[in-house]
Amino acid sequence: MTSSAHGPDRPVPPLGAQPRRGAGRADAVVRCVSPGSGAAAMLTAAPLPDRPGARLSGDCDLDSRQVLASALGIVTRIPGPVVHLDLSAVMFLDAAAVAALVHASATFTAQGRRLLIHDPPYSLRKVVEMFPDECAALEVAA
Amino acid sequence: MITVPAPAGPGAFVHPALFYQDLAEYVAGVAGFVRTALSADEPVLVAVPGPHLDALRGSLGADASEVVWTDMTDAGRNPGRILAALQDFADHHPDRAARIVGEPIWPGRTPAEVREATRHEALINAAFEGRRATVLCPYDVRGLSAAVVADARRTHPTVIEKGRDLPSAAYTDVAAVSADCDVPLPAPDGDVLRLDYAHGELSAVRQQAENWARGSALTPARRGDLVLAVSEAAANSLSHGGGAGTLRLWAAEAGVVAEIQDGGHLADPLAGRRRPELASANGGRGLWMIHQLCDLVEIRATDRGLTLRLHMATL
Repeated sequence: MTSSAHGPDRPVPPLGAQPRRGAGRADAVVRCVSPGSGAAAMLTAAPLPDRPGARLSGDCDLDSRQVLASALGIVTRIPGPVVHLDLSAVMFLDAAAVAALVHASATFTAQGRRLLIHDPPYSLRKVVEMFPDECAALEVAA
Repeated sequence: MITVPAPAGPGAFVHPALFYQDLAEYVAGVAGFVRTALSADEPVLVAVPGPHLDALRGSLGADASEVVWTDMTDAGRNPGRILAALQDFADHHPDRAARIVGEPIWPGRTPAEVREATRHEALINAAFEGRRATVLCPYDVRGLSAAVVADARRTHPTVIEKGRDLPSAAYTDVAAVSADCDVPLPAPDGDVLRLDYAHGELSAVRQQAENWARGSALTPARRGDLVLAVSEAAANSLSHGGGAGTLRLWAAEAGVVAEIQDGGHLADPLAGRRRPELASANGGRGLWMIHQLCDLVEIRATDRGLTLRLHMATL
């Protein structure tokens, strides 16, 4: 057992980091950190300036489930044969968020339209890899 | 002479352990089982360690092309994901009896892996109960410890040994075996980063895990996998584990460990061991994903709550 993998300059956790010895565990140096403010990752949506669609910013997870549902509800009402969803400012989507995108995409398909996703984060690509059949309908721009 | 388990009748699940002394006995027993299934036009999956795949393919010759082959050291590196793969295969052939060779334990497995693989062996009996299928599990009785072989007698209703296929007198109820696998986890030694979280803090949990993992030897992709696994586990804490939890992160000898503790109870011991639908929301989806993403998942379900210890190797 070694902590050398971190090297001497391991990233220092932000706000609230407090070294504490033996908290709950024997023979271990435990550093407790507080989660801090989650405001930076709060999910927001804005219309795209140059084409029909929206740009999401933030994280899509259990904490932002309702925001994503509302945003996608608005996106599906944007007119046009192709509606764009820019995810370049989304750091993370969980499986439920990807399921919501699949559902939204199916809504477009049923209307004879397309939802085109741009710049998804690693987590979306990984979830697609794990659920290939259900995510086959998702269209991601090359 | 090797005894091959008789084809099961309708609704009968057969789960024998095959105790072998050497490669010749192994190939004779397993290839015989495969040939019997193929001659009955039954679908066959062979999930065993790589070197054994080569020996079996060589023995089966042209018949080998009829078999689905899987290297268990890869697909089953985390024992917690094997059962979903076996059920996937059986589900793929709903009208025929699936014949499966599954070798989840081999010499060189760590004690923690063996414990979870033993739990997996017990859970096979619950998952396949009433299903027309066979899962034959070879055990290297010379290379494995006596304790591992003794546990195989507890997790398999029958044992094929020295050419005889007999009921196992030591066969034990699934829940009892699983409970015996719930030995206390060893305390980490060295630096531990601890984070308590609740609703509204999932983003911060991921941020801390990502920051911490940047200092480890994980590749960027495996770092992403770790963050995804931790996030699904933490979300389960919020939805099914009392609304709060604790994440601990530390470096291990050849990888990293993320441990999630919460007030959850594993109501269904088979949770996460069957491929879920993407849109399902019962907690099994997250657990299944965690099993797929990690190299080892140790699960401890006690009356005080649920602990998931996720291992990611850096080698």
